[in-house]
Formats: sequence, C-alpha cells, structure tokens
Amino acid sequence: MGNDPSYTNQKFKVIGSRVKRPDGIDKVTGRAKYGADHNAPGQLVGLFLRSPHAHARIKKISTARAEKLSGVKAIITCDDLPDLTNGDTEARDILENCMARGRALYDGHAIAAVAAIDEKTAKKALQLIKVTYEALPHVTDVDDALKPDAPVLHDYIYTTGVEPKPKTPSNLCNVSEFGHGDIEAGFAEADVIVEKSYKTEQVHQGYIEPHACVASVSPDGTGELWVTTQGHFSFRSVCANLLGMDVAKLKVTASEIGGGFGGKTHVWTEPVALALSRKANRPVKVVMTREEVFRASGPASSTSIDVKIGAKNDGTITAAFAALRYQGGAFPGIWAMLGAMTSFACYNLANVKALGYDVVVNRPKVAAYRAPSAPMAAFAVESTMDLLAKKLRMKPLDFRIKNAAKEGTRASYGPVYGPIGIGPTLEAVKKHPHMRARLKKNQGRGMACGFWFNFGGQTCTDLNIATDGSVTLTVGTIDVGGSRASLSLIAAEELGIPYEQVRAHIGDTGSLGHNDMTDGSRGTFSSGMATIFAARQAVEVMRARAATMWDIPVEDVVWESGQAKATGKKHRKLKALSLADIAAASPNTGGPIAGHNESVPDNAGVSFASHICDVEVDPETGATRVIRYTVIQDAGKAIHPTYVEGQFQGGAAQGIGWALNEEYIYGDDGRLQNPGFLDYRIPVCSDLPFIDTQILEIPNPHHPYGVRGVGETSIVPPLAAIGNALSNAMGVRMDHVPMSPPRILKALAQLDG
Amino acid sequence: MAAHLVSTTINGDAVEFACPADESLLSALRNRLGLSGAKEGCGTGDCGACSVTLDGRLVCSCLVLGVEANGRKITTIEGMAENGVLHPLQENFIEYAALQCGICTPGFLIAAKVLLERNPNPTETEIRYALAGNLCRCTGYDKIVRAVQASARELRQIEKRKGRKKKGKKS
Amino acid sequence: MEIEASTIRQLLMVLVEQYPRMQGHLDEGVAIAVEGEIYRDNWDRVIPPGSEVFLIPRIQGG
Repeated sequence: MGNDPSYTNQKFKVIGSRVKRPDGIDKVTGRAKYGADHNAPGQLVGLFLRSPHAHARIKKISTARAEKLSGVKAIITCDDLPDLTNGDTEARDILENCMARGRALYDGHAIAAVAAIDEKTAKKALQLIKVTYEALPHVTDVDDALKPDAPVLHDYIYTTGVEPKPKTPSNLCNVSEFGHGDIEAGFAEADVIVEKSYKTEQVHQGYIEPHACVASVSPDGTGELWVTTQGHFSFRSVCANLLGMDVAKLKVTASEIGGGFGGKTHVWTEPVALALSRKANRPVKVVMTREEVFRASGPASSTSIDVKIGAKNDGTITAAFAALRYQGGAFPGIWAMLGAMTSFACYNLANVKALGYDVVVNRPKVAAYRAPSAPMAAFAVESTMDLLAKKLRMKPLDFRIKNAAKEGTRASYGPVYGPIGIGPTLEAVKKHPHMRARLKKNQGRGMACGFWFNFGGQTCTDLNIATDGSVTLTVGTIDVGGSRASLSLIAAEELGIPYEQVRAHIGDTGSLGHNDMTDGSRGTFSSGMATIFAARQAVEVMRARAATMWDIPVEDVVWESGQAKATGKKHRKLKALSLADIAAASPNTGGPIAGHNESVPDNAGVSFASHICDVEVDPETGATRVIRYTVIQDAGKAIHPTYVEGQFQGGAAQGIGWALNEEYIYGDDGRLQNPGFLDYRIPVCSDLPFIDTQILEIPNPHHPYGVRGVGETSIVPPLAAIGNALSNAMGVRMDHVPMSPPRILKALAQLDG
Repeated sequence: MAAHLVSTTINGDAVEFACPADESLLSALRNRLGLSGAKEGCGTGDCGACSVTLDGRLVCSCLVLGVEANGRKITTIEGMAENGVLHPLQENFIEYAALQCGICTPGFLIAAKVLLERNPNPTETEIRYALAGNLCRCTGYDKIVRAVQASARELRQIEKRKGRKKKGKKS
Repeated sequence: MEIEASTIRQLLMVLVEQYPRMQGHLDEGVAIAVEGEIYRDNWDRVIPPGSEVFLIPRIQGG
C-alpha cells in the first residue's frame, strides 16, 4: 500500500467494466462547453493578419489607419511583445512563432493582430493594416533545404551533433545518433541486404475543433484564460513567461477539448490574445478559422528516410541502418531525433544505427502528432522489413517474430527492455482469423508493427469526500477521450464504492498544483496513479476517523470493501462503518475528509502494436480501399476497455488517412494550396470498415494495476501495413506517402512498362 | 448593413432575432440565441459539426443564412431530448462510446436522426454514406456506426410496440 | 562510464561535477532511462546497483 507504484496483480471489482462516461450527457445534448463556446462580458473579437509569403523581410507595418477605425480597441505587432525570454531559445521560438519579428518565416505566419468590437470591424481593420514585405527565397522541401544552394532560414543555426563544428549556418539544426554494435561488420555478415529510400508528406492532426480562447487581463496584472488545450498548466507557464506575468496570477481554465492529438500541446494565438486584452483592457475572444489551423498551427513533419537492413539466410537480422530527415517547420525541433529513436525499437538487433537529421524549412512550426515522428520511421522500416522477408522467402510475420525484441533486449535507442508486448502482439497476429480470411482479385493483405515510449510526468490530484458519502475527484490532466470515466473507476475501486458515487472534474490552474499536459499517452496512467494514492490517503484518514468514532486505537481498524471494520474480539460488537457513515460524522471528527497526491509517476510502460490490413485497389483509378483492419496492442491493463478500443480505432483511422490521402500541398510560391477539409481530405465514415481490436494485457511492472499508456501507438503501424498490403495486392512497392491514386497509377504504369 | 428581423421556430419554440443579411444561421444560433451545441469546425460545409435541420432537411448551418430561417422550422441538438428524456441515439452514443472528444457529436446525432427518420432499417453501407458529411477524427467511426445500428433496432421496436397499441385500441 | 550514485539526482550531480559541459544538456532538458523505462522528472528514482543508465534528450508526445 502507500505510494508504492509496483504492480500487485490485485483482483478488481469495477476496473475493466464499461461504464458510461460522466460527461456523456452534456456532450450528446450540446451543453458541453468547448473553446469557442465561452463568452465574457464586454468581450472583443480578436483576428490575425497573416503572411501571404513563404519567406519575406517585413520592412514596415503601418497600423495608423486601422487604429483610427471606429470600434478598433487594440492592435498588436511584435513591438508590443518585447522579448523577455532571457536566452531561453525554445521560448524565443514560441514567441517568434506567435508573432513574426522582422521576418515572415512561412505562409500563414502571424504579422499583426486586432481586437475590435465585432468581427466585421476587426476584418476591416486587418485590411487597413499596410505591411511592406521584401520577398526572400524560400524552401519547403526537406531534401531541398539540405542542398548547398538552399536559402538558409536562420543565421544562428550551426549544426550541432557533428564534428568538426560547422563554420557556416545551415538549415540542418542537429544530427542525432542512436544504436549499438558495429553495422559495417553486421552488413558484412549478411547474406541478403535491402536498401531503399522513402518520402512522407506533411499531415495535420485534423482535430475538428479549431483553436479558441477567451483572454482577459486586468490592469492589476492578473489574468484569466479560457482555452481549448491539452495542458492548461503548461499554457499558463508559457503565456505568463512570454508576457512577463506572475504565473500564479494567470488562471487558466481548460474548456472541453474537441480533439488535440498533440496539436493542442503548443500555444499559437493564446499569448497574443492575452496581449490584446491587456492593451484593450477588455476580454478578447480569438477563434481560429480552419484555414488558419492548417496554415498556422503545428502539423507533423514531412520526411525523407533511407533504410538499409541486412539478414542471414535463416532470417536473423545482422545489421540495420536508417538516415531520417524530418523538417520541423521554420524552427528547430527534435522530430528527426524521435524518428531515429523509434525506428528500430521493435527489434532485437546486434548492430543498429539510426541517424536523425532535424531540418528547418519555410513551413509552420511542427507540433507533436500522436506518437510524434514514429509513423514515418515505421513506414520506412516496416516496408523494408517486408522487402527483405520477400528476398529471404520468409513470411513477413515469421521474419518479424524471429527478430522481435523481448525482455532483456537492448532497445535501439539505448536502454534494455523489461517485459514488453511486441512478441505477444505478433503471436496474436498469427492466431488471428483475419490472417486466414480469403482475398479476392486486386486485394492484398499486409501487416506492420509499431512502438511508442509513453510518458508519465508531474501530476497533482485531489479527492474530496462530501458528508453524504459522494466523492469529488479533481485532476489536472485534460480529458481527451473519456479519462474522467477511467479515473472515476479507479477512485471507486480504491474506495470500494459504486462508480456512480464518484464525480471527476478537471480542475483549473487555481485549484491544483502543476500538472504536465495530457501528452505521451499519460492521462489515465499518471492521473490514475495519483488517484490511487490520493484515495489510499483518504482511506487512512477514514480509518482514523472510524477509530475516533469508536474511541478505539486506529491500529484496530482495517479498511475492507469500502468499510471500516474493527478487528479483534473485544471490538466484535462494533458494526462496520461505511464510507457514507464516516463521511456523515466528519464535521465532528475533524472536518472534511480528503486525499491528495503530488507526484511524478514516470514509467508509463513502453507500448507495442501489430496491425493487419486488407486493401482493395481499383487498377483503373488507383483508388485504394481498406476493406478489413485489425489492431492488436498491449494496454498493460485496460481500465475502461471500450475507451481503450476507441483509442486503437481512432489512431488506426488517422494512420489510414495519412497513408492514403492526407498531404500538405505547397506550390512553387511556397504557399499552402489546400488549407481546408475539402482538399485536405481526412477519412470519412464511408471510407472505412469496422476496425477490429484485440487488447493484450501485459502488466506494466511500474503501476499498481499494470496500466500502460495506450493513446498513441495505434497510429504508428498503419502507413506500413497499408503499403505492405498494397504491395501484396498489386505487386508495386509504394515508397511515397500518401499512397494516393495518382501515385499508385504511376507505380502501376511503371510496372506495366 | 442593416439587420433584418427574423421570425422562426427553433426546437418547437417561436423565436425572433435580428441579424444582418450576410450572417450565417450558425453564427445567429451560437452568438445571438445562445444555442452553441452546433459547432463551427470549418465554416465551409465540409465537416458537418454545425448540422441542424431546416424544415426537416439536414443542412450545414454555416452554409445557411440566418435570414433564411424566417418562417421555417429549425431543430438543433438542444431540441433532441424531449422532456428531459434522451433520444435513443443520444443514449446509444454514450452507451457505445461513439464519442471521444465529442465536438462532432451534435452534428452526427442530427444527421443520424434524419437518416433513421427516412430509413428506419439502414444497412451498414447506407449508414456510412449518410454520415459521410460529418467528420470525426477521434473514433474511426466504428463505434458511431454501431451506435446508429443499435438505435435503429431500438426505434423499430418502439414503432412496433406503438403499432400494436394502436391495433389494440381499435379492437 | 561508471558512476557511483544511488538516485537519478545523485547521478546527474556527479555527472555535472565531472563533466561541467553536461549542465547545458540538463538545462535543455534530459530524460533518463533506467532499466528500459524513461524518467523525465522523477529524479528520486533509485538506481539499482549495476544498472545501466542512459541519458537521452527530453522527448515529448502527442
């Protein structure tokens, strides 16, 4: 007991049951309040002026005419946002991304912002702002950005991670290297080697709710922010730091979130909304349009990846190498590094090396997107794995099973694995009836594996018991997909009370200590762990209260099935006290009963998945349809299995869209040509089949219930699973994602020719 | 631009509001009438998050003008539960976990209700195409389709019982 | 390299003492892998004797 996170293999009463979520009714009746659904008295409308250039020097911004327009209350440019970042380069990049400072670095980069009494006035004001640009050469492709003659975005970027240190700036920010062994020796041992290059285009998280906030700053320096976010505490710190406010004086309230997938872990308009409010001395509401979301929030990297894998004739991999080039948009990122770390994580490799090249281009600042950077690396590696299996005349599944990582394997990114799920997911694939289903003409089946780290992080949770015995659980991690239900289940399990007796809330930044964001699949893992410990603390309080009520020593009181019981013969006449009994007496036994936990539950347990996919290709049009799809993933322990399935299905669907359709299309002018859902086509209901799921439960040794993070891994395998299925259907190996109809037709034509 | 007075019926209630001729019905619902259940996901009719019915027809309210509501009947998500009783679709969306973030849910519910009114026994494919105008990024649609299938079954049973009662009364 | 330390915090302190340039990496943010699991903030984590510890850049998720 206590705060020991070790797995205990306990029997559960309510964990694992499929209860109704507490926020369900609000969400099916239209009552739930999302980012754009909040209004403040006297609020103004905030709008942004954005760069039409991919790269330009901003010579002059003239706001005089706009300021004179009746109804305009504030105009902000970078001059209103002094650089207070004090050498913190990450913060400086965020500041510059929120509002251009002397240069527009991508199509859509914010140049100025206006707050006015209504939208019409604000729009008119934007038209009256005159910006004089001097267009500069631009580059949007990751490979082009590395060419010697490429326009260099920043004069301060000198490649790190290489020797000798470069003498000139370039677009290559950092080279990271992971691996072990000797790949040259490994390739020399190989009987068969496959080497191939791949490209993947840029995609967006595509959350249906655009970024929205209402900012209100008072003359005394206090402020409030209502915002759709994956991390209101982090938003508070970032905004307060950029604006020179005291962190504690800014209260951030998280709205219901209409999807994030990593894209709402970063601030975009929020610091500017606060600055507008401070200048206008009125609340300001900023809601991005869909076009702004595409042009100026944070999509995922486009990439260019080379993979080389060698194996012996018996199927043992002797060496694996990957060079991964990821663009992070106009600011340095760690995206290629993440790609390099995850690329070979599924396999047990004696000799492995992965090089990540982080590159800047004239595109929006890249943000995390569900298992960030892993899907592209998996596409390249898992496609190559199939190619190699074919050369070895082995079944791709058996080839993977032979080389799968297991407990004790040194991961390609360094550490040695504990108990992991890659082997079991592959064995489950082998047993799955999907693998034996008949295929028809133009149909093919593929499979692929995926990995994601999963994170924990800082967490602070409160559990309060009301005098009627009902329980309020207040957590600081945003509920992106049903975590309030899962966390209520955990509280109910620990306290031994019905699920319905617990009500979970997301506290604002004024009600709890700092919580890291809901990212890295940590929501249910971290807040779940903190909930367990908070509940156990409350139980200790209740034991003491029961002892007071009975006037016996606390050592004689045990807690069983939601009741305090007195042990020993001398107390046998004492009737057990329920949580409700103890709660009812609490005003006279010491006041409110509560449990708290502040902790850093790291160790969210690495996660693996294997997917099976059947596609059908129309050879006339090149259109591909996914006709059957199965996700098999290790969840550690599924607290609420339905929501775990939902995470598996949702990630797979996003991966399918990425594989087949989704793509940022830039013109030669460096402008985004498809910033809308009509031309950036995410999967619709009629595009997809039912997505079958199988939850494996290989307990995480570092969680009392064995929980692992589950949210992200399911987006990793689909790109390669579909590529492999396409190859088996049509005999073409697609090396460029999305595998859209024109690319497939081209590949088919080359096959014929 | 001068505002126009619009007299309309929303969720069975007579409602009047004034709005300029170029304002969308979505904006009028959200910003003038406090009906924020319809969401703006795109503003271009591509995502269906703003779905409402106009005289029983499914529309994207971002593509309808507020003034077009004059003399017409509108239903929004706020009018779907009757007398505090959830519609079977609403119940089943919760039961089947057909929502994760929930931002698309009001639009899906309106679209699914229109489908089941016209076709009480749709096939899976018919459901998928009827809902193809509504984007969901969280669920992969799997549990949405299952919730609609379950609701269709339930609604058909309710209709059957009603039919039997009517017969019973006649005899 | 071999380092005597019983927790992640001690390990990092010893590292910075021996290699002052490490401070820059710590300021940028690091994560520590102990026995295969990644720790971002839990510096009180006890490192079992003989463990292999990896310092990796602090990474973020979606």
